[in-house]
Amino acid sequence: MKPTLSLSILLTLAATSVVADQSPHWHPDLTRACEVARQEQKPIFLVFRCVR
Amino acid sequence: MTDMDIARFDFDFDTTWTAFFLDADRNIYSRYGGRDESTSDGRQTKASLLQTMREVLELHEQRKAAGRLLVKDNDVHPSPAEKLTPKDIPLLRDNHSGCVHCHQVREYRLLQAAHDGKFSRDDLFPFPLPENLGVTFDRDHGHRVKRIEPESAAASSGLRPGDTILRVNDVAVHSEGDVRWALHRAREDQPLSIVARRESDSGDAATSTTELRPPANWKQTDLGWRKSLRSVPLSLGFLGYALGREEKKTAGLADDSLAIKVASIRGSGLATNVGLKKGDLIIELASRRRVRTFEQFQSDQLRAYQPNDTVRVVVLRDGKEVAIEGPFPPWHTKETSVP
Repeated sequence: MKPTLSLSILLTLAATSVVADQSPHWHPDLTRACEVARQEQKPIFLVFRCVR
Repeated sequence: MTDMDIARFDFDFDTTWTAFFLDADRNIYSRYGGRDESTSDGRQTKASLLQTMREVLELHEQRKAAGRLLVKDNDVHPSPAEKLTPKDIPLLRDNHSGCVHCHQVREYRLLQAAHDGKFSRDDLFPFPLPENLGVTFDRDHGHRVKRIEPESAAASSGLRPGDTILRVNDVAVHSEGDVRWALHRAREDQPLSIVARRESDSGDAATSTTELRPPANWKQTDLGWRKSLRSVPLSLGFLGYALGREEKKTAGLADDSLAIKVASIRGSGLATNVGLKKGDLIIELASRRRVRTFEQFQSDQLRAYQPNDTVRVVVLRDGKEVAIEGPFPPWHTKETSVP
């Protein structure tokens, strides 16, 4: 079994002018994800996935 | 997992997939995940995940618009006073190297509690199922009630199918995972405060708070699927296995009957207390004979008995049914590490 930690910044559903910004950004590091979330005022989708 | 704050990111560590929704200050909006004894992902659907995502994004936007982003209030889950990492569990720190798997976190916590003399039977049953209270949620929504069991605690509380649970005690709810975390945190002997929204036929919605009084032992669920079962501080004192269909047929047992073969006796513990012998075939535990895997059999013992109780089993020994009994042993384990 190998655990992996995956992080994603979710973009809001609110309309924005830049379509490319609608896709989530995945980060392997929570600290970095929090920095980006703070800058962009977005929530974080944090996944714990353990593969047995 | 090694450096992760397991106090903040508290989840059912026996599961293989769990998600959190949080803000940039790590305030948690919602937990999504959880399983039961049937399948690893039967309680997770794409529709319910999207439902939780929509609710979290809407809440996040509302808070942003109101200038309340990153504020610790009732919108976010209660957070622990102090950080805790797996390395803060002494037995794990001293005996474990390499990656820490999710289930090992729970296992080391069980071992540590046992070695510290702080193990409680309550520790056995994490993340109770809402069905234990009489509530079944709509799997494609997550926290909208699909069914209320008649004459259950939920029925007595006044909850109805169609109600959407918004809060359980101090936990804001956007998923079944949130409900289960709230139940996990709740005291077994205390009533639960439930906030629910009910829509009328005309489409109007009203929110109300109700008190739900749980029945005795409401936190108990099957432990047979849990990897951490092997680290519960119970000295079984024997190795065994569940007979297969053909072996049961040979023994003259129905396919749906309990049949646990005692392969060997190992040291002291439950087996010697009860008087089990090598070669015994256990066909009844606590007056029940339903078919069980060996892990489910272990789980049933833990659900039926605790230290100082008298354990009763019926075995087939030399072709005859023999009823034997003895004391359930004190919580104890010699193990200091987890494989």
